[in-house]
Amino acid sequence: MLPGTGTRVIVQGITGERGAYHTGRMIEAGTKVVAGVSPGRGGLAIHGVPVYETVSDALDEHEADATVVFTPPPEVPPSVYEAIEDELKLVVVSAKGVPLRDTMRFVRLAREKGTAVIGPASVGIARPGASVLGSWPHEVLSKGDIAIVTRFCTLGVAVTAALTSAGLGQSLCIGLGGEHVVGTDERDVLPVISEDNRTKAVLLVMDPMRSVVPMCEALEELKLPAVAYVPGSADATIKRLEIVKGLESAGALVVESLEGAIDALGEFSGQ
Amino acid sequence: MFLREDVVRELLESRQVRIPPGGVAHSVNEAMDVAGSVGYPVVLRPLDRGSKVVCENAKSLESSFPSAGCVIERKVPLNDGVRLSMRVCEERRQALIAIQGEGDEHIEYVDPILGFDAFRALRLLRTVEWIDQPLLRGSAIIIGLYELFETTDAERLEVECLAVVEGDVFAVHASLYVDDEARARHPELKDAETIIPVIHGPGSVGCVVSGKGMALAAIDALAAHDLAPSRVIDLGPAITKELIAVALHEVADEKATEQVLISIACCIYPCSDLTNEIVLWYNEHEGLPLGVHITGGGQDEASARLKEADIEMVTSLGKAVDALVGSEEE
Repeated sequence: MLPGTGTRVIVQGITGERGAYHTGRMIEAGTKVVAGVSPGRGGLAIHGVPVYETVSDALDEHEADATVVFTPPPEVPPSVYEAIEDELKLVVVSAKGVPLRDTMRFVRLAREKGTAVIGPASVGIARPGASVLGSWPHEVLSKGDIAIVTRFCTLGVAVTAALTSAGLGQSLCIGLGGEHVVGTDERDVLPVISEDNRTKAVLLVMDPMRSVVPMCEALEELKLPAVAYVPGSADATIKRLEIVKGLESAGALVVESLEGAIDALGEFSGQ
Repeated sequence: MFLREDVVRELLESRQVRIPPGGVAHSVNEAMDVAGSVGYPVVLRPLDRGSKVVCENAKSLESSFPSAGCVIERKVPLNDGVRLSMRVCEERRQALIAIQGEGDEHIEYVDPILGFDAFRALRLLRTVEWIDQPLLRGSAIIIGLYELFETTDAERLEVECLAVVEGDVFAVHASLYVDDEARARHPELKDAETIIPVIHGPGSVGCVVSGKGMALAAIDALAAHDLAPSRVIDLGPAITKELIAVALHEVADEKATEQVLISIACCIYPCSDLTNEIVLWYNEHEGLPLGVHITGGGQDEASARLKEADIEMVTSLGKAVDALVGSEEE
């Protein structure tokens, strides 16, 4: 599931405004974008990347490990189905605004076929210094040993920027997506991060409005120190106590500010 | 978004789901007509989602009629009824149907591809010992409600009671919350009520942020310096120059606003796209203390452009709030 230097990537929706823009940025970040897909636009090239009509056509000419879907919300389900059918094992869905019913269907199929879907509404996965799959701004990334797992797109980016400014680089940055139903959550990624030999500590950026009960077992089994940043301490309407208790009992150090997260991670990280 | 009572009632009727007899009234006279045709006592359910009122006679109906209009239904006895709800389960990434009689809640999970069948509806009703009740009618209602839940892309459907009256089954008071992301494919729900969350605060700092997480972090950072927002406008991750121009004017126009905090992380469009609008707005509001935290794609270019206009942009939220605190002390 985790991308590295050699990960070969297809971009679905490459000729759209967002697809074209982020393809250029992914390439700037070092990502090997081998092909683009855009029905009706086969034969074009975007940032030097050849465009094909279908995923299958692209795979006839190039080997690929993953796809990033930049198609607009109504086109996301067929794009994901196509990727699953063509046996790509990692699908990153960037679009926000995908109806829950659509997500539940393609996630159900993906899990049956062994394809990991990240998102929807995901900022993507980044392996700083190697590749970016999605829209993580490479300006905020720096290579290091902290894995960031975030439910929030923009706060995840802001947190990463703050860590980089503090000299704390990242081994991995994973945006799970902010929708109610997402293809991959903490239960799926924490065991994978446990086995990642570049990671020494994990920072979880938590949504205080979401139950942590489902992820606690995976957190208990995590072999690395974990810091959970739970924003919202100044908002009296948020019932944080239950979330904080759940995370702490599963072994995480809970902090309520970015500065607190930086201090805690400085202790765990080898940087 | 919640659908209004009258919209839900219309949808239930279109799916042949049995509901208590009644109708919609926008005036007392209309209400009297509906109540007269279904018979007292009646239940009034205001269209603005106010509390329901039971009226035993025309006099109480006249005095209780809500200004927003209401749905009026014949009051149905709820004894021996069961509660029913359908919702999306985030943890299992599928829908669930829950039924509750006098004891525990019983749940059926629904495969998003295979769907829900009559035998599952029967199984659910048996768990609440619906043995002496009309099983097939009960299961037909659950199937109709599930079809409504699915075809409207609902996130939640709640039925106060599946009530049995003289051998017939009624769905009493259904409420429906539809997935906002699916709104584009439901033009028939155009009259639905949309509830937009607006954060108003007791403080003096107008905030423009990009996303729910950024809003929470900004409020926390202000509180750490004994500051609070006057208003927070969350433009979401897909922030554009048009959106930021409107939002900045709105927070500055708020009476209580004495300072402005911009806290934005750009991951969809470059932040350099936003700088012209920030500079234009700043020139119109010279003297209003401003803290600018912007990070993400194109941040160096954005910083350079803002610097030309004497606006200091920082890539840390804490430093942006420090700038506001500094201006306050001055």
